[in-house]
Amino acid sequence: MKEMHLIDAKIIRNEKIDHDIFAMELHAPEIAKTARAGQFIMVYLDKGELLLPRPISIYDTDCDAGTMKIIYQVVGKGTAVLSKLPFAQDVKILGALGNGFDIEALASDKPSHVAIVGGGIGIPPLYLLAKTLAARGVKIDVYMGFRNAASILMDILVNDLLPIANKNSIATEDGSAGYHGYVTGVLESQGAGIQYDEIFSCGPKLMLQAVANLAKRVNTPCQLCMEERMACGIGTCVGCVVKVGGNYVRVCTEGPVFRGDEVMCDG
Amino acid sequence: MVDLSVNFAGVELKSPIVTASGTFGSGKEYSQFVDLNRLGAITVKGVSHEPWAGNPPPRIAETHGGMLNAIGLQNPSAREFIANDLPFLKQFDTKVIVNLCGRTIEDYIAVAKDFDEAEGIDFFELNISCPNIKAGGMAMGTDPKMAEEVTRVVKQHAKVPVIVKLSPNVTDIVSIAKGAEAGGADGLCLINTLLGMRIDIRNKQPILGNKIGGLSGPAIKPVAVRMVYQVAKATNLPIIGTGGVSTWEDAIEFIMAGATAVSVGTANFANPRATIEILDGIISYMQDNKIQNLNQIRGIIE
Ligand SMILES: Cc1cc2nc3c(=O)[nH]c(=O)nc-3n(C[C@H](O)[C@H](O)[C@H](O)COP(=O)(O)OP(=O)(O)OC[C@H]3O[C@@H](n4cnc5c(N)ncnc54)[C@H](O)[C@@H]3O)c2cc1C
Ligand SMILES: Cc1cc2nc3c(=O)[nH]c(=O)nc-3n(C[C@H](O)[C@H](O)[C@H](O)COP(=O)(O)O)c2cc1C
Ligand code: FES
Repeated sequence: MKEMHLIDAKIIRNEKIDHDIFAMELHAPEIAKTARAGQFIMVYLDKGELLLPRPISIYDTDCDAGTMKIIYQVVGKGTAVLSKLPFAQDVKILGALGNGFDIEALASDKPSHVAIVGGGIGIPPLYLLAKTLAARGVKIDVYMGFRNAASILMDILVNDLLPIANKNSIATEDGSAGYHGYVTGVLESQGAGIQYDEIFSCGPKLMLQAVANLAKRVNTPCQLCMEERMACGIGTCVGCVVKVGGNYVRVCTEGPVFRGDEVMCDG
Repeated sequence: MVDLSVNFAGVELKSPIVTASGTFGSGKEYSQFVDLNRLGAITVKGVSHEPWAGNPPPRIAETHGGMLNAIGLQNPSAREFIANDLPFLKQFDTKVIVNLCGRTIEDYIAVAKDFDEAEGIDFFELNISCPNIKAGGMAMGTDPKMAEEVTRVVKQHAKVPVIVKLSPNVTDIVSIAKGAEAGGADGLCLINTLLGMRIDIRNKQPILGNKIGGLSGPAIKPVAVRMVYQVAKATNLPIIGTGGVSTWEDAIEFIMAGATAVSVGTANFANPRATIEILDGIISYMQDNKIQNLNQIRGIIE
């Protein structure tokens, strides 16, 4: 069975990086040691009426320091509580959960060239992926979509990713930076003619659907990181399902990463 | 040393803490956080004769102090459960309660018979109350005659004692409990989830794919305590009290209302170690209050 750790992790940092985006760094050596890109943690809020833990992707890990980082957007009560937790406080977390990206899918006998495609707050799990792939000598083209250029998240991600990416392309919905339109548009135009070995993606459902369609058209395998509402996070409640090959399967256990040709993003 | 054991329908449970069906899988995942050997029994997720596909997502919606679920009893069938999950459970020194679901009386008979050859099962728990399946459970759990009939036929085919799990979505819980008793039930479990609904006002859509679902968690505890109290007074059957138990104080409340054992459901999601923490709390409470055996406080509310 998968190794899971239920620990009280000390908050080393929890700060606003954009108007509703926060970065939290936690001391969690057990999780940092085993976590793979695309895996997530459950964060327990310990707040009476907010019963359920919140699933958040692992943005980065530092095995030597025994730390891990998450980046989250305040969208409701739970993430608001999270954003107010002070430095040095313990927060209960469970991880690392889920399957993570399948990096072994890449051929080991020749250098690979991959595309990483992310939209908005779907980008966090892709950073650790890029880092892991870069360490294996994989050539990475990063495509990121944002609503507009005023996103500090965008700057941070670009800064973090710049040193490891072969190419970094940005799309904004309002055209205020980079390509004007959706990230799949920039992937289609700038990626035209490149035969990627694999496309990795995380973001809103509609974007994942578009990426899956595009990947199918250009005959490229793709891996999509999905989200669904969760209760347990460990496979017992069967609450977090998506349809794969006609059956409902659990995002927390069989996912969150699924092959694009198997998962139906629209339901 | 306090004596934690309880006698439930002639079977000794080593402690009064049980897990609630559908919230603990088959124990495998939680065995990483909890010593299953300390639990009185593990109630596994509901199983049916044929595989059930379950409801469309979203299946989960949090509410104030609770949650709604509309899983739709997705399960790979009793046969798969026996092949894949039962061997794991047999390693532990605890009792196993198999929760059975069906859409018709015939379904219940078929799933009960699936266990004819299975070893390592201590009880059946009949889910006649699942609010999520439109055709079956609902009707049986809301009519005393139906409850009596399904209990009787399953009893005829069961090789283990039968617990009937009651639905709270009724006007008179006592009449259903008496129906199950008349059908030959060996024990009762109450309550299942209360029907509820949440609407996303921005999208103007229900949050759940199934529109309505079952409410569980601390929010339903007072309803559950009241029903356990009423049923304990009106029948002679042992009761597993369930609904919102998340602390040892909650468990003691159910026992004072008349429950023989207490099962922990949604609290496992909020705290994977909930069962053991509740059990430890009960031990301290008994020591502090010089209670040797929970019989001393069971059903003490007049
Ligand atoms: C595997 C996975 C990884 C995730 N990684 C990140 C991440 O790295 N950064 C980030 O900002 N967000 C991430 N999310 C989304 C995040 O879990 C939700 O935004 C968060 O739970 C919202 O909680 P809330 O109480 O603030 O919002 P509310 O809307 O008040 O939450 C109420 C309930 O709905 C659930 N919920 C609400 N939105 C979502 C959603 N989009 N997905 C799943 N459940 C939801 C909550 O968990 C909670 O149970 C991830 C989700 C999943 C499933
Ligand atoms: C996700 C989920 C799945 C459930 N599945 C079942 C089930 O398969 N069979 C059943 O009899 N009850 C099922 N229940 C009901 C619980 O066993 C329990 O009766 C109810 O949730 C109230 O207890 P709680 O508040 O402690 O969760 C389920 C509850 C939840 C939350
Ligand atoms: S969240 Fe419970 S099975 Fe995935």
